[in-house]
Amino acid sequence: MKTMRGKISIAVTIITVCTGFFAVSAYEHYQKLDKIQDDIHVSLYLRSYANEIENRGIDPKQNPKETTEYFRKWRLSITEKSRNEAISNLIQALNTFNKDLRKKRFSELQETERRFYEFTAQKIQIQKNQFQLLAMITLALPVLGLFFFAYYLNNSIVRPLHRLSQRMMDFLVDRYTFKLANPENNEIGDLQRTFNSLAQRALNNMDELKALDRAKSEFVSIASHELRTPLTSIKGSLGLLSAGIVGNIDQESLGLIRIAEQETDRLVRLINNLLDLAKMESGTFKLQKEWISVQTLAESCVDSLHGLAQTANVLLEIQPPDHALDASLDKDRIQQVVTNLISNAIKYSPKKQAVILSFFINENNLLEIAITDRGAGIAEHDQQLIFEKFRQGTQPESKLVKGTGLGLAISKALVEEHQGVMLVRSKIGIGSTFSFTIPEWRLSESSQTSNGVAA
Amino acid sequence: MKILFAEDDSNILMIAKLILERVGQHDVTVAVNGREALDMALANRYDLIILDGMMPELSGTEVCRQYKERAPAGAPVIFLSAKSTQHDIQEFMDLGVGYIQKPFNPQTLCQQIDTILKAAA
Repeated sequence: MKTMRGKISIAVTIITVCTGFFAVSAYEHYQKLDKIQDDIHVSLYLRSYANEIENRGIDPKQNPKETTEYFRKWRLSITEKSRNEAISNLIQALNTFNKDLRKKRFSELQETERRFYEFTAQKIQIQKNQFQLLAMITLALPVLGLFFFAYYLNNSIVRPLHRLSQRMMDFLVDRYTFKLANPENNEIGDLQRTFNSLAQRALNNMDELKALDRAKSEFVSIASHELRTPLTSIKGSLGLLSAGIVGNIDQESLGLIRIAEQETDRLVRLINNLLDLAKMESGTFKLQKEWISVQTLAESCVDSLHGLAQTANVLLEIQPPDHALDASLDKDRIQQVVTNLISNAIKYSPKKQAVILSFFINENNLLEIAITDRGAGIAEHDQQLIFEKFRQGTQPESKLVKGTGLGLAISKALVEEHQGVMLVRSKIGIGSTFSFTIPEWRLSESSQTSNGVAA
Repeated sequence: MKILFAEDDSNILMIAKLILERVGQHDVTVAVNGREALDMALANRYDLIILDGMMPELSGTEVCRQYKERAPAGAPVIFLSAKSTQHDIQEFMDLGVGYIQKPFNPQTLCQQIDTILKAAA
């Protein structure tokens, strides 16, 4: 039921009827007063004419017909009986030419007129009072109506709309624990009910998404557990065999066992990487940030890859900036990224060339860590593809490091977890530079002091 | 060291026992589920208890909780688990003195245990 529309119509009708009634009544009063005014005019003419005859001594004998005609005409326009009679008597007296009788009739007429003025004054006063009362009543009703109407509008439209908009604002800032109570049976109520349904649906969707998210994390957790358990036995058995703990093994068998061990490790890395990616995609990944010297981080990355670089006959260099820098980052994770980028660079670097690890503050005032090689370079159309999962360059796999196909994808994701950006600049035949940015950095305090001492 | 090792996977149990005995020269007693592990831990005196995170009857974390409640001055507990979520790791670290991720490195398992015990001491 649309009661609000009905209520507004009733209010508008009441106000219109009251105003109309007042207008009609006012017009009637005006007509009545108009009539009284006419009467007064006639009386004034009558009086001035009669006075002229009486005072100036105009003899009606000279112009009897015209004189009596005037009086007769005025008599006709007067409805009041006593005045009518008085004028009629005067006309007769004028016609008889009797001076005494005329005088007498004049005084009668004067008396009648005096009473007429008194009576008219009373009549006007009554009309005035009636009009005032009517005006008060007919104006008070619409004003009262308007007052209640405004009250009604405020209560049934303005306030509910305000409440509704507040709930919507709550919804925007993720405060979902609400429901608009008892919507009324009108248009605003309909709006509230619609909003309740929409909010409920949004909440249901959100619950479903949360359930889906939980199911995904649970799956990842269980899958990783189930994959790691058999790998523990395999890795453990191979380790016992290769370490000679359970007895000596000939060289050829040992070689085979080592291969199995390496591949097991690769499988473990792959599972760990997949898990990390899954965690980052579901937003459950947490960084353990701390302030750390970038130089120390760079050195520990280079140290860990020293053996690999030597085997590949590639030089590893660090190019530090003028001022020592600290950065807020997850040490293990950024080390993982840098190590991944350096080992890739070693993999594709020509022999006896250098792979350079540099870090500096770039033009956007961000810390940038860059790894440059003198390798074959990457074609432009491949430069974004290499960050996708299980994508590798077209070059044959190096025997030094076998990748999991997730290295760059996970590096990019880890950099993005730090609110950084992964960049690649490469030219065919010249080499490649992989770099990433870290937004949180500062000049090292220790370096500032040492610089001060040196200066 | 007298070690109680609780693990429901018989293969891992055998391998870990071998490593701890041969590499670390430890005296290893094994339990194959949580209930057994708790009973044995309460009945005997050990220098170290190693618990799998997920076991039938009682989970590793539940065994640890009950053990610490009933024997507050008992042996240190290290968890050995394939679980790796932040939440799980936090629980292991809060309950025990350390956590070793499966698959463990057989060559360095004993060193890892020593490092954890030294850090906890």
